[in-house]
Amino acid sequence: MSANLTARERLEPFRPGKDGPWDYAAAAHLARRQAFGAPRELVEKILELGPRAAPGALLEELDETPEMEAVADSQRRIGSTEAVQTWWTHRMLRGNCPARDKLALFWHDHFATSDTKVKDARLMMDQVQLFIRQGAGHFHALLQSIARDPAILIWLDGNSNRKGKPNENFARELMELFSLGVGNYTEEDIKEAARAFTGWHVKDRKFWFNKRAHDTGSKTIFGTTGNFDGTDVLLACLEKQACGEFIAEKLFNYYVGTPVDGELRKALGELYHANLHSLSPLVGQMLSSREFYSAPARRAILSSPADFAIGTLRNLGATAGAAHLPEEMSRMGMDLLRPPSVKGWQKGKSWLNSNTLLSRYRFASMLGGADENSFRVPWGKLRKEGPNRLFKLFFPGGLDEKIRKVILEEAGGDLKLMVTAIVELPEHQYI
Amino acid sequence: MIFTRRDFLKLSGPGLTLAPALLLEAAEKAAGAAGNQRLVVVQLTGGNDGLNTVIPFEDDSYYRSRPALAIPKARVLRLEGSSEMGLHPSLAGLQELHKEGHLAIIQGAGYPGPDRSHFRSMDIWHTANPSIAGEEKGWLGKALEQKPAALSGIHIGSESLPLAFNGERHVASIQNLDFIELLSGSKGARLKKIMRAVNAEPRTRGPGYIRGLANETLDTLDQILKVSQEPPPVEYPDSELGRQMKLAGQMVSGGYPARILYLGQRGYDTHARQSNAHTSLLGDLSGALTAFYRHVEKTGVAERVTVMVFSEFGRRVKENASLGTDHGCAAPMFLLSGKIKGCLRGPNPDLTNLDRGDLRFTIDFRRVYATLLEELFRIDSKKLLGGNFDKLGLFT
Repeated sequence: MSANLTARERLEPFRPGKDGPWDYAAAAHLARRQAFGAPRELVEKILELGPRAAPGALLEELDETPEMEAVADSQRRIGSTEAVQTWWTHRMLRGNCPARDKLALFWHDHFATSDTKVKDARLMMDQVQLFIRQGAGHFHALLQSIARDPAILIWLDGNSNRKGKPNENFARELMELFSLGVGNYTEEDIKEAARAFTGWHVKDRKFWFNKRAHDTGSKTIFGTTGNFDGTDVLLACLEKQACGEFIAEKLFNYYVGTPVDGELRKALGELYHANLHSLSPLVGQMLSSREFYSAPARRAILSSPADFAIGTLRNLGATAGAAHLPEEMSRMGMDLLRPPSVKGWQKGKSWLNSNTLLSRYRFASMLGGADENSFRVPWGKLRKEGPNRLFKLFFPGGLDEKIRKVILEEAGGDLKLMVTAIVELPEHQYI
Repeated sequence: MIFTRRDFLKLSGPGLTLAPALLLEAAEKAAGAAGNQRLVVVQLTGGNDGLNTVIPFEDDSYYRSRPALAIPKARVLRLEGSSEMGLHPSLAGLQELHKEGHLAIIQGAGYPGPDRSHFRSMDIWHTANPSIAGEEKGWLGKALEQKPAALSGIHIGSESLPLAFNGERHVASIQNLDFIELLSGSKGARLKKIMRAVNAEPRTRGPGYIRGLANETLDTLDQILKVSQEPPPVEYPDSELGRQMKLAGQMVSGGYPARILYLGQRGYDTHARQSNAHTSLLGDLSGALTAFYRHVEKTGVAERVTVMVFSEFGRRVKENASLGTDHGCAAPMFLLSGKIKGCLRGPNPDLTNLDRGDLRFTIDFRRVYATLLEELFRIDSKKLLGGNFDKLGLFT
């Protein structure tokens, strides 16, 4: 992409032919980013839909498949953290709308709530289902819903927030992490906002406005004084210019991954407002932009453990036994429903250290391993298709000839070892 | 990067001219382990309640501020040489180490313009920069860059590599030995060969970074396996921190090349029902630190290692209504070493002169960093920390 484009131009729709080819590699790029991995059927569907229509189509809400409904019911009945993790990873792997799970995962990281403190995996499941349902809707509605979500209120000490004895936890994270970012509020704003949220409690595992604990006195937030309640504070945050830029930039980092400067941040904020805070068209525009299909954006994002593990299994058409998938992802540094802090997971290069890299190698060797209960790979089908299709599946944009040769030589005709090697390649760690 | 003796020989081979500083460093290295001071950083994540850790048991305002959470005077463990400050009842091991003169307590550690966000304050401690903006190098990452031949670091823990290590040098991160054992079996040889093969070709950009990390990880594996096979002469607590400290003790005693080790303990964000949680955290901490000290003492290396314990901030003086405490500012740090002069440094906390309900700092934490950088590694702290921070005379 030519360097002299303005930020707005970079966000304009990709024009097949003029900006680059609309081919299998381009469609696979969208598949990896908007879903998990690039299984052939999905890439072919995207190719047919075209770059403009594909992102919106992938996010469309579909009825649950009977299989997924049954898994959801059984795992909810069990009700442990592991059971809910198993349900969600199973949905990412085999569900009919992985793009919604990918976006839900973004919100799980953004409103990072941990079951280590909530200690109620069914409430965690409700929260994830909220993200799946509302994650592509309006940000206003999403924020108003999450502020009344029992799991997050337990996580951020909602019940301790009472008139005369405010607990700042929720108010602080609302401004710092959920809507505005550091530098767009003061310590005083937080103290006053905490008073506005007094009485936003959880009772019998449901949101409960505890009128007696609510502080009805006047508060000054962002320089305006009034008898504000929590809803008013949420609206005040949503109305700040910084909010649109904060949310749009974070989504851009998640989906597009090229560096954001001041000009681009501003343009992203405009895009957020032009879409009237509606998330599906906002994400769709990012994912169909000239920037998204530019050379620097390809394979620019270091895969999260979900991208890596679920993407690999989906590429291979493999299935996972019970809790194996979340367990392996946890070894790779992503313990679903238990993010390390309210700030979510550290992303990018931070996904990889000696530990987590070894965990990815461990996973790669398990694929070719003897334990049929962990992961089941359709080896017969892969063998029939041959090594060339395998390489195209993982590297539709091509792979350095020298590296390809090393793998063919090392594996010496052993397909399982070849898959292990491909999955371990530094190139496969990027999406 | 791990330098071996062979690398050193390669460096000093004929036809190579070395900068004097590098030569000196190489000489220090060649002199053997005697000059090799090690630093073990223990991070208490979440904001440790300093006031209930090192306790002003003669101060009425402490008891007034914390009707539910204050530790009763009778239960406070007394510190040798102080008639006003004592330790939390679960810190018996540390009390003993202080009595023996191996524990220095630095009171009121903090920095100007304290930030009450966990993340920002932690970033400040990691970068030693209270006005941090954007991505920066960590203080230990910079130290590693300054002495590439002599210093290397290792992180033991399940979370991602601490920002403190951020810099040009790769630092290995080790979670536990399960992964390593997988590769030590007979099937492991073939898998290890594949791991090497996929990382053989040089790369650029991201894959180049991953290749470097991978090759270094594979190099490190064997060394770790070696030191972890030596059973320690003491018992460590059966906890995450205990296991991490045990491996650190084995590394220090077994001559593992890393000279900066980093590990931590989570769970200090005690907004509600603090009492039991804090008691058990501190008990675990004291047990692990004490076992570590006895371990290195018995293996004769206690004078060559210093442990630094810190948290991103202390907590508010007044307890909250949920039997917990909210984010605060200044708090004590611990330094533990056979080389240190045991002490209680800095003025006792002043609970009558607060900053929005929080203790004011009296010792800039960068003075502790300066002391460690200069005393342990002979690094010019002024340059590294971007300012002149007076050393605390702590070491013998």
